Amino acid sequence: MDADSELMLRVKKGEISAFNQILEKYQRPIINFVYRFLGSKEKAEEITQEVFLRIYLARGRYRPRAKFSTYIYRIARNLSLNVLRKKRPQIVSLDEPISGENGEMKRELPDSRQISPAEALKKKEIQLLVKKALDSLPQPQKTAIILNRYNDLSYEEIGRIMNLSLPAVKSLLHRGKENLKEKLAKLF
Amino acid sequence: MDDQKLWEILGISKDIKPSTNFRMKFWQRVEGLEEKRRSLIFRRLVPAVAALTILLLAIFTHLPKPLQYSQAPLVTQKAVENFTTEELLVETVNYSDLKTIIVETFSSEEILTAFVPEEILEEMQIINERGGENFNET
Repeated sequence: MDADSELMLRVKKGEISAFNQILEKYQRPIINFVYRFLGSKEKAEEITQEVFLRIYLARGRYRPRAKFSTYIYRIARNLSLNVLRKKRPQIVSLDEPISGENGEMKRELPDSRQISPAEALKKKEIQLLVKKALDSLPQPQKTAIILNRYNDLSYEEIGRIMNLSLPAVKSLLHRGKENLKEKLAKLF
Repeated sequence: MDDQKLWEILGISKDIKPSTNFRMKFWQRVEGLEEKRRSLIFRRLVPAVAALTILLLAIFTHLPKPLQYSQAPLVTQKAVENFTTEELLVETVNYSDLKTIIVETFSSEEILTAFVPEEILEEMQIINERGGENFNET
């Protein structure tokens, strides 16, 4: 049994403080996973809260049948897909002007690091293009790429999260990568 | 473009941090939900307890008290005075089985006379006169 499952079993037995360790370990990977799905930080935070809440409220019924990470990513994925089904995320282009009181103006992006404005803009543009390319993938390909690239999960674990066989995961990732290469090739 | 290059490009993607009060917000939501759950249980429990109390009160105030042992002959006497034999028999049959009625109504001799065939009765009498079943003729 993995260490996180043991933590969850401690929570189940009533050691509520053990849940803080789970929160500490998973809040960042889960929020980023959801963010890459939904494209909004506020929404990602809200859904991540919901993920933890569901796990906490179901602690009495917890049984360590799979790795804890599989369990938590599966919940995060399902909740994100529910949100996506209800409302497609809005993709905003850098070139798209913002409408204001004084007519239209160019979108300005705040620079959070000490790099030149040109570099910052270029980085933001790349981030946006990558996001756009990811968002354009079919949902299963996108999920597999995010879990593999950003959350460092193995093919086996991705398979368990997505209820797919190992060859199916490999095939999804392969097709996803090919699609992304195609979309990003002209830019790099 | 090879896989490694693609992975590098994807790595440029923005990584976000949870808000600093993420954990606090979480525990506040848990507290709020548990409070809601408690009040929901309380709201459901109050009418249930009230209904149960009313039901118990109704049962205990309206049910006839169990008959005291000393009152039983009085009741029987009153029943005999106020009802006909047929009415008493119908009532008795409603509440008791046939065997109980027969045993309580008739003596052993009456039961023997009423239910045992005459030949057997005669034979029984002969056996009794001889001194029982183990009577030795010699």
